Amino acid sequence: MAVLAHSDSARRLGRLALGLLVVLLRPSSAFAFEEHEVKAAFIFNFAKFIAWPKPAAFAARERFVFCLVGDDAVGDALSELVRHKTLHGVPVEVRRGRTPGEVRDCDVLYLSGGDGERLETVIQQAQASPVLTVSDASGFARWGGMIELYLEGRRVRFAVNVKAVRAAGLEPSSKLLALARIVDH
Amino acid sequence: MGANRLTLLGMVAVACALAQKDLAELSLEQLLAIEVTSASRRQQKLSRTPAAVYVITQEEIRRSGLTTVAELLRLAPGLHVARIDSSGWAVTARGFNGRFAGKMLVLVDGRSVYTPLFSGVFWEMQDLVVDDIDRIEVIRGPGAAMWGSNAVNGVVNIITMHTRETQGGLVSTGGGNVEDAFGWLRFGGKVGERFHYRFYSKTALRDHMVTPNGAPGGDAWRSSRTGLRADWDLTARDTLTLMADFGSGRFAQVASLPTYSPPQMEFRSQIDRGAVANVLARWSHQHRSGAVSTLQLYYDWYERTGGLITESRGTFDVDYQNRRPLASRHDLMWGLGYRQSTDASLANSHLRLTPPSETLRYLSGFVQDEIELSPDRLWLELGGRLERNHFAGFELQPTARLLAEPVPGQSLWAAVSRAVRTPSRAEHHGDFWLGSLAPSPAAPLPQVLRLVPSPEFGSTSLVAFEGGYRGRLTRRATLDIALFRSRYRRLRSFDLNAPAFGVSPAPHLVIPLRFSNRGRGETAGVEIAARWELRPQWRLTGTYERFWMNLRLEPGADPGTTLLAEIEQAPAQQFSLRSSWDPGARLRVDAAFYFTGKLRQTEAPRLSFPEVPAALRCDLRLAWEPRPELELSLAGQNLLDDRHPEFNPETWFRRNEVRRGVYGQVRWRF
Repeated sequence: MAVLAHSDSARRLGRLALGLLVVLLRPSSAFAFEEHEVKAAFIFNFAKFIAWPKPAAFAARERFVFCLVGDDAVGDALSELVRHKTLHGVPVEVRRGRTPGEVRDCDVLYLSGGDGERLETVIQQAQASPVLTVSDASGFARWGGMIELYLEGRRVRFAVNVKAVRAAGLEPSSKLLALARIVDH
Repeated sequence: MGANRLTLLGMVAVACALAQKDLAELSLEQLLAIEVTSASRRQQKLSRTPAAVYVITQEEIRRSGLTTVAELLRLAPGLHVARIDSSGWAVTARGFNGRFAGKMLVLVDGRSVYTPLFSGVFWEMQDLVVDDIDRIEVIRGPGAAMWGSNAVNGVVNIITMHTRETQGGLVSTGGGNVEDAFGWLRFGGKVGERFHYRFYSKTALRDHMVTPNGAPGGDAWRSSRTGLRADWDLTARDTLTLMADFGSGRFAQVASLPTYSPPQMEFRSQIDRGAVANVLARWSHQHRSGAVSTLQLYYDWYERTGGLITESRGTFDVDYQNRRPLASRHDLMWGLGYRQSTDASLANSHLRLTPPSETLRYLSGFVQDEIELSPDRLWLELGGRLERNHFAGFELQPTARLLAEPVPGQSLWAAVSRAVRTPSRAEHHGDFWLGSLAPSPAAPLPQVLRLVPSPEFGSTSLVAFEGGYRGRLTRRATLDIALFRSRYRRLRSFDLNAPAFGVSPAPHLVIPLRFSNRGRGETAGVEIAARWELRPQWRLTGTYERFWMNLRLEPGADPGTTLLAEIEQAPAQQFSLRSSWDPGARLRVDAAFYFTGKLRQTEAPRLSFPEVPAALRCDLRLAWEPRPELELSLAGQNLLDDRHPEFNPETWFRRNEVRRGVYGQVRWRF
């Protein structure tokens, strides 16, 4: 009995210690991460939860290509993040341009919401091809873009326009949809 | 138990991944749980700005425990913020400070809040809800090419949050000894997905400061503010922002007024009442070409009664801006603006404006091109503004700026600019009784110094050479250094005119003074800001400033009849150190030390000008969030001494000293 009680309290102490460790390690608040770093991680992650129609373009070119348009810190962070990574079995590459016309052969196209890029053109072009479009421009998903990143308080959230994703021949995983705010227009 | 351990292990995994900063390893759920700093796009852009810029973030604002806009500016490097009495501040960058400091442009959400009356800011009338402020961009040095006249020594750009970020309710209340009592509430909602709005209301009662011998300073004040903002996404390309805001204030003050009889000066307690109201509409359109057009209109009104001056003023402003990428290397911006400002004033025993009512008109246009000389490495910015102002005609204010980023994250910049400080209505039309001198054996009658209208007074111009370094020293430390040297021409001076006799109410001699432009001078300085993230939960920010100033009369001016009329009170050195520490997930501990060196003395004519010694100030704040929606905090300001002076005000004000203040606050989000 005493032994049992002892091991029980030891376990409890252990759990407490672990809890404390977590509290200490916890990246409290703001300073650990900047918004653009977290957004870049989201973009990388979205690609894991989307199925591309077969035969996929990236399989043929043996490169999974993220295209980044606009002068944006998210672009820098994503370039940094995907270095030496693979996705769907192929190496990842990042291509950057100032306008959507400057980047070709994209699997994921990210547009920074900033400096007046041509969101509508991109939305229209992308509908015809299996390219996942992501942006942090306000209203992106509502206006026919696929995934929109937005802030809720100090956390990054995302909205998925399911119709737009499927219209391009892409299939979002149920897990992605479970965590997203769904926009149906 | 099993699930329990799983979450714990999961959290450890998150912590480890975060510690290594490898976000790619995190799952979507983990990413959703991370809190981020709201580094806005504009702010990213600012890091590549070839100018001396500091952005006071929302986080810094909230954690400082400071409750007024003027006090918040202490957080920026290179600014000199001094509290003259409870409701009066002197704020400026790069010298020439004063309650009527007139060389800095201040904007709130694109609306200029400096008054053409004296080209400065009634800081006590800008009592915003500080929690609604998204950020304050502080640009030191001339920003006239982009922002317009008066942006001679700096621009302060206060930007409130988008209504999408202020959804839900928030109430806050608190009180203490200097912050007697305050309360505010905010409610944000939306109609559909495209129309967001917020409503806010605030009232604050603030206690008096103290006189040099510790007695109550007679300068308590209260102010309130109520307003609305709405943001409407009309289409995918058009957004409309509407704002309306009004407020009122009641400021007790002790004026120091000249008299005809000994001791030639009296203190008079008075109640200065103020009211403000403004409406603003901004429409932004994204063209198919990628260009962005913005049209902004606002009307701003204020009134001051019962204090030194009784004046009401209405200002209408319309501003158009267009920004378009040109070819592949150019980013062109241009704009046109028109402002019309009409006031009406009442004369009193000491101050009079002639004519009592006047309409001022300003017309301006600017062009700026940002050229990418070498992709992601070298940028050249050329810009200029042509402005026609009411008092001094056309003025051209050009700038050329170069920024190099030889290695990502390490940038060097240099700039040369010309800016102009245009005359104010008070300078052209003011008829003011500045001071009195007692009779002496040499001059047996009391002498009255009277400032008479100076219609010939013109603009002051500045040419500034600036340069700086901005970069990341390690992954966790950043450094920003700016150097400047500015040359001023046609600075403000007084010309003494021939004395005249006056008989009422008693015989006296009037010495008329007129503003002239016979001063010149140089300033130079170093401004440093560093941020260091010691641990994810502990960050330090340090600033340092060294400032030199040399003002004099231009060659040929007779020092017997011409005097410099610029205020030179500036500290040669300032530094600050701030620490933000989160000992636990729900605790926030902030400490700040500010050192301001002894103020150099002005040579402006004044009867007595006591010394303002160096001061070290300490602010502390402790906040606890028992639940995510609730925050309890305790904040203290000026904790190191009972009282100390920060500034010698200009004529007409009594110098009070700031005292230790402590207050508690509750914030609840619903």
